[in-house]
Amino acid sequence: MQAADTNLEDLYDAHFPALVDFAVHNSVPLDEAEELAHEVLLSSLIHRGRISNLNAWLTGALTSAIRHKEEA
Amino acid sequence: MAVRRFPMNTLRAQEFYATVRRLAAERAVAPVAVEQLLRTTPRAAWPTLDRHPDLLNVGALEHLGALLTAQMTRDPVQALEIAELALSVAKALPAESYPPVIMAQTRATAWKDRGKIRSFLARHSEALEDFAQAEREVNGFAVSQHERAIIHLNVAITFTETDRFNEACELLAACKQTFKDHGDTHLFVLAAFYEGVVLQRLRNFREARETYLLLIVSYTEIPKATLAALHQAIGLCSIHLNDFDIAENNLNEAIRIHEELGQPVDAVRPHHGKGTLCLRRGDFLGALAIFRTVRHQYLKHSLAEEAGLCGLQMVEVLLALQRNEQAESLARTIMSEFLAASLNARAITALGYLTEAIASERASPRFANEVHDYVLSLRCEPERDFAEPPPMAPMGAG
Repeated sequence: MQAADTNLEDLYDAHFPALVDFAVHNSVPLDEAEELAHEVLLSSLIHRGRISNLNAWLTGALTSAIRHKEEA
Repeated sequence: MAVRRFPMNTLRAQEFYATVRRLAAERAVAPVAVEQLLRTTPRAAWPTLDRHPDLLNVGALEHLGALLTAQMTRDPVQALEIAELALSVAKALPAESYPPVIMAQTRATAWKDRGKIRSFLARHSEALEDFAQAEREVNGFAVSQHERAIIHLNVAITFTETDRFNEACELLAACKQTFKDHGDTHLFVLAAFYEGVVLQRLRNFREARETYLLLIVSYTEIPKATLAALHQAIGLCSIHLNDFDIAENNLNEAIRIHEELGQPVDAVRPHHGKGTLCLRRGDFLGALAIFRTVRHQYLKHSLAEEAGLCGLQMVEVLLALQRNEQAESLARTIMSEFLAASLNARAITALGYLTEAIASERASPRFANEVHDYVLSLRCEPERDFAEPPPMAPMGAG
C-alpha cells in the first residue's frame, strides 16, 4: 500500500486546509491557493507509486508550484 | 505552524473523493483486464484496441506503462508497441473523463513513455519530439513540476546518449533539485546516477566511479534495480581504470542483485562486463566462455544488436587466439543476424569489411575491436561513416 492510498477517506480533509494555509502564507491569493491545493492533492493520486513521504511530497509540490507561478 | 481553518470547498472535495474511488476501482481490475486483452489479441492488432472499454481509463494506462517499462530492456520492439497503444488510448480519453490535471499528467506520461522507448531504440530526435509534447501537456499546470522534472530527466538521458553533455548536466542539476523538493529520493539518486554516466561517457572514469560510490554510501534507500546499475557502472569504470578486482566484485554484486530481483535478462549485462574484464586481463579463454554464454542469452531474448556486439568481442578473442576460421564464420553469422534484424546498414557494411579482412588474413584483434566500437557508436551517431580498414594490419595486435 502506497502512502497516498492510506487513509484516503480523510486525505483531503487532513491536508487541504494546511496546504491552503501554506500557500496563503506565501502570498498566494485565497482563491488561487485553494485551486493549487486541490490540484496538488489530485496530482498526488497519479504519483502515488513514487511517494514515500506524503507530507513532504505535498509540500514540495506546492512549493514548486508557487515558485513556478512567481517565475512565470 | 498554526493552521487556520479555511472553509473546505465541498464540490472540490467531492470531485477528489470521486476520483479516488474511480482510480482505486480501475487499478483493481487493470492488471488482469489489460494482460488478458493483450494476450488474446494478436500483436499486429494491438493498435485497434485503443478504444476498447477495458483500456480506456487511467488505471489501464498505468498498467500499460508498467508493462512497457518492464519490457524495455527485454523486448524493446514490443515495449514500443505497448507505448504506441498507450499513447493512442491516452489521446482517445474523453476530455471530461477526469479532472484536468489528471488528464494532463496521464497524457504527458503516455508521450514521455513512448519517448523513453524511442530513446532506448536510438531514435533520439523522435524521442525528443515526444518529450516536448509531454511537456506541452502539463504546461498549464503549476503543480506538475514533478512530472516536468521526470520528463526532463528523460530528455537529459537522451542528451547523454547523443553526446549533448552540457545540456544534460544542466537539466540533471535542475531535476535533482525538484526531486529533492518533493522528497523523491529514488529519482534524485537516478538523476545523480546519470551525472555519473555523463562523466563516464566523457571517459572521466575515476570521477564517474566516485560519483557512483558516493551515492551508494550516502543513501540507504536506493531501489535495488538502481543499486545494481550503480554496481555495474562501478565495475565498468574499474575495468577502464585497471582496478580489476574492484571491477569483478562490483559486477558480481550487480549480478547477485539482478538475480535476487528475478531479472535474469538484466543480469546478462554485468556478465558481459565480466567477459570484457577477462579480455582486459588477457584471459582469452575465460573471456570466450563468458561471451559465448552472454551472446546466447542476448539472442534468446531477441537482442540482436547486443548479441552482435558481444559476438564482435568474441571475434576479437578468436583472432587473438589465431582461430581465424572460427572468427570469420562468426563474423558472417553476425552479419546475417544484423541483416535479419534490419539493423543499421553502416554496421552491416563494417561487418562486411571485417569478414573480408579476416578471409584475406589482414584482420587483427584491434581491427575487430575498432569495428565493435564503430557499431556501438552508431547508437549515438547513426549516420557516422566507417573509416577504411587499415592495410595489412599486423596479426595479434591487441
